[in-house]
Amino acid sequence: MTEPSPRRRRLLVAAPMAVALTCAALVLVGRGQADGSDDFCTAYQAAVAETIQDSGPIAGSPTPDDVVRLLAGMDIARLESATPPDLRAAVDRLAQGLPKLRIDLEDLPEGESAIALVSPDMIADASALGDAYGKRCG
Amino acid sequence: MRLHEEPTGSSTPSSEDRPRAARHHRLRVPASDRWVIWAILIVFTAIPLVSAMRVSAQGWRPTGDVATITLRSSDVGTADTPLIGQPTTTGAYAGGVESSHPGPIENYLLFVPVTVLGPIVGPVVGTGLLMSVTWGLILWLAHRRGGIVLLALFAAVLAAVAVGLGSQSLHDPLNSEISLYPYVLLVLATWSVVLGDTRILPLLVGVASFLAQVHVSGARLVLPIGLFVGAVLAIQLRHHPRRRRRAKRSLGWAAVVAAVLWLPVLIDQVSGSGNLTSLRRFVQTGPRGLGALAGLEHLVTAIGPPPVLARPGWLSFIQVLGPVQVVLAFAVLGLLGGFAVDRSLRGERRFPTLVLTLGVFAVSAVAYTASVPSTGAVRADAFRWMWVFGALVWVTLVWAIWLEVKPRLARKAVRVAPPAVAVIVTVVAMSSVIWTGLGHERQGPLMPVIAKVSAAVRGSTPPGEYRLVMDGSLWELETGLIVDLEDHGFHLRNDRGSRTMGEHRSIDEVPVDAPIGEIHIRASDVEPPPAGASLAATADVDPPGWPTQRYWVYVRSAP
Repeated sequence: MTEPSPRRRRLLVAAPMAVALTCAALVLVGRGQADGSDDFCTAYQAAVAETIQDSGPIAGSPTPDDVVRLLAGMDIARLESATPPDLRAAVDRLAQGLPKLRIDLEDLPEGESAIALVSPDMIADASALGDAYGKRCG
Repeated sequence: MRLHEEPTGSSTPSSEDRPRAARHHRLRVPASDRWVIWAILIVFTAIPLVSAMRVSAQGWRPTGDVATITLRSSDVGTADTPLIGQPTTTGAYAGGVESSHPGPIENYLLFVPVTVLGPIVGPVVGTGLLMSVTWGLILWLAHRRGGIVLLALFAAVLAAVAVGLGSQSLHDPLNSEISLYPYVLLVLATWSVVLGDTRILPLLVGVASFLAQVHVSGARLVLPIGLFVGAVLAIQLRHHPRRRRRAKRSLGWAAVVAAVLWLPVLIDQVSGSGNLTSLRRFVQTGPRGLGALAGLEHLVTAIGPPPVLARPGWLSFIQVLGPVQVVLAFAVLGLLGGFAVDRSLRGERRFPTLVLTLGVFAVSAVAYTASVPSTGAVRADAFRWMWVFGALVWVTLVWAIWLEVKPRLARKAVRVAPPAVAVIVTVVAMSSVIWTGLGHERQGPLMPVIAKVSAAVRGSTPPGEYRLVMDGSLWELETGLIVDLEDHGFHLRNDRGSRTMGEHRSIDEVPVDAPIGEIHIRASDVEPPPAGASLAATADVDPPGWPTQRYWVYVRSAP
């Protein structure tokens, strides 16, 4: 193999960096063009999974009370930046309602059901997110 | 005394880097280094096993999927010997195709420890032993490739991953987690064969088969790497007849290893469940994956800075990094590529072939990640390649810098630095054992619960054949309970299907009117007892950090 000229050598050595920076540019451009579906799927999973991980009870098919507590523990902030436009209103409403739900849950007397703390609108919004997840990510 | 170290103060290629060289370092080294190398090898090889023995003494026991792995391992050598791996989740997707992970290799490897040490201690100590062997092979191969310098650097990879992921990674039998350190061995073995060290080929086939069998993620990662190695070997052997003669024996042994390890899978394919066909059908008709952009994002997250293994939080691997970090991560890759081209133009092969191997690994990992269904996006165990790749990239960069600055360093610094680094990373790696404990184990709080519920059943019910029914309790508890009760002479049947635990544990294989009893466990006494059953025992459990829970054990005797 003949020795490359200094100029050609410099080009060859710089080529991998050029390819790498092109990939970086592709990622950044790709982020701008993504429709948000993939981000939403990941974020929804993360938001719910983290809640389940944190609550982590040993036993029990989830009761309505469990569902309320899971909803309250949902990391809604994770979804706020990753939600497609058509679901943004539902996420915004949940983001507004969840802090109060968390306080109400803390104040709930022992033995009382938590289901009354959740408004029908909140249930509808949470269901809309769950349905969207099922349709877009399943 | 033989040590092929690169000449100090020279930028010319070493004997190791000559084009046709596949030379290796032997463990016969200068006396001053010898004790360091042996000490590192012994300490590192002991770490996973010690960690496993420690957690076992603290009350570790199989739960969830690990319990089914244990049950199937104890079936090896019987009429119900497993021919395929653990069940996959492919059936949960639209148009679901039931399937299992490709092969039973983990069950075969754990058969001896489970048989000798029992189903409670055997899985964790057996896995610790397996990881000890893996760590030993990694460090041996690292030394073979680059003496004490690469030994120290790969020891740093192991220490970083062990500390980053915690002690559980050293002995976890879960099939999706057990691949972690074998990925490092895969990279090293691939690099060795690409470099012309064909004697490593049987080892490469062995570790690649292990990774491909235990989990579909491993299979998808290994397949492109296998094609790459095949192509490189074909080119090498075609152009170098002398090497072809030398490689014949290694190729033969590699073929034997492949045939032995894949025989059960082929038997299943021909006369069993046809699992490979199910997996292929899922790949063809399954849900769409995360896409190429997600694959590249994961690559960036793996590298950082900071790399995924240095970032806290159990969802750190899906953190989206900022634009500066994206550019920096790819710049690191570009830098490695530039170093590789530069050294290749100087006639060296060692560094460029390592970078090439990492490149192929990266492409395989991106392609695999792009194919992961969205619902699997938050499963860290599906992306363990990220921890290994992140560590390898940074360590390779350190090696590149070392190769560049070494000629300018004083002779004494060159002699002292690698052993010093090796000793430091050994201490770091040892620290991972200190943190071993049930609190750091997946489902650790569940382990004492299983022991207590099992004791309640055993204290109230004579051994025999029963149908096991669990109400409102987690799947993890059920499988762990079956392991414990089987160990005490019970034969339990359940409705999880034969794919999970074998036909001999499936209730589907028993006639409806068969004279077997029933053990019914509930987490609530709100409902009336099951028909014909009476309360045999209760078990109160309060695992640390979890709510107190009472279990009710009802038993209906055989008619």
